[in-house]
Amino acid sequence: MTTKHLLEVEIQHYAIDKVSCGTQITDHIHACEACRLKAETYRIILTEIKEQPKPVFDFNLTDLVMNQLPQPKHIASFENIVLYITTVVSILVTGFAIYFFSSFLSNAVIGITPIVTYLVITTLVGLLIFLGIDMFANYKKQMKILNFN
Amino acid sequence: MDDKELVNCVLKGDTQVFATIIKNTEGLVAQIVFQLLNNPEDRKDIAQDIYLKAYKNLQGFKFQSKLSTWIGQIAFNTCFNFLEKKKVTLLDNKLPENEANCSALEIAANRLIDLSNNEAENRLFRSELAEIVQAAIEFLPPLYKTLITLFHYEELSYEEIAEITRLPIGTVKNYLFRARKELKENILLQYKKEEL
Repeated sequence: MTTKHLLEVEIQHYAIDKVSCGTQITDHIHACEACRLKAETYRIILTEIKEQPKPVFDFNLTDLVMNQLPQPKHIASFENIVLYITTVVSILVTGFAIYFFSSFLSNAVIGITPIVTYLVITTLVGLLIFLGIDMFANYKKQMKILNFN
Repeated sequence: MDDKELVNCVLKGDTQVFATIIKNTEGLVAQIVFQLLNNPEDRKDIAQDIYLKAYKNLQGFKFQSKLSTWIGQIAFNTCFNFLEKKKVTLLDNKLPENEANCSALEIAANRLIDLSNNEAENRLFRSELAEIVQAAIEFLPPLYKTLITLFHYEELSYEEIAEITRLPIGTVKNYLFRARKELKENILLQYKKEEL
């Protein structure tokens, strides 16, 4: 055991982690009142530091920062890719059909009988009326929801 | 999500994931900012600046350290540059040592330990000591305050603190030793004053 008083650095070492201190330091602390007093003072202070309240920003940092970042880039998902491909294929197929079968289509329109024409027009008008009524009913329903009074 | 997944998501364009990075590291950044800056408005500006810098330089993060350590380094550096512009020194010793102080310290230390061992006075002593410690930490130079809180409160290693502050490990240990010594002396002198 060392008879000279411990250095301040040794006392701090003992106060922070007495397990890793050498036996010379530990033995001296046990025997020396003055060094034990210093080590105990450090121990109390260091314990108190850990008890201090954690500093917290008094504003929402995440919101402040996120508002200044660029908008997220559009990420190409599998569904989007399938949708794009389907649209392009549909346009191409329709285009090719009109191009190659235009003569047959014009003949079909010219050769159509008046009764079939009336039937088609009546069906289309009926459908349009039905869709119109449905849209109007939906519009009324949504306006009712928006009317908070 | 670990650091790598978080960073990769942000780099791929999913900026919303950056909010998670902020939430994960805000505590450490707050510690550094609060220890180095006193003005609440400066803290607000600097805290935003830290994360905008981190976002801008995220591509340069090479996963050689924890993401929190890297952001801590940006925080320390941003505060340091701010203080440098304001001509504030990080190491400013306020308490010169003298013989009168040393004997006062010894008396205060004795009283401090007596009180901590006395059960009846312990509760009162604790709340009083908490205030004194807080005041004494405030009295330390900004760099010492930061090192003390990073080591003893955030429980970071010497290596992590060296990385954040960009100081050699030996210097970190040396400054921590001096910071603890100065803190102890500040507390004991303050305690002595309150006793009188």
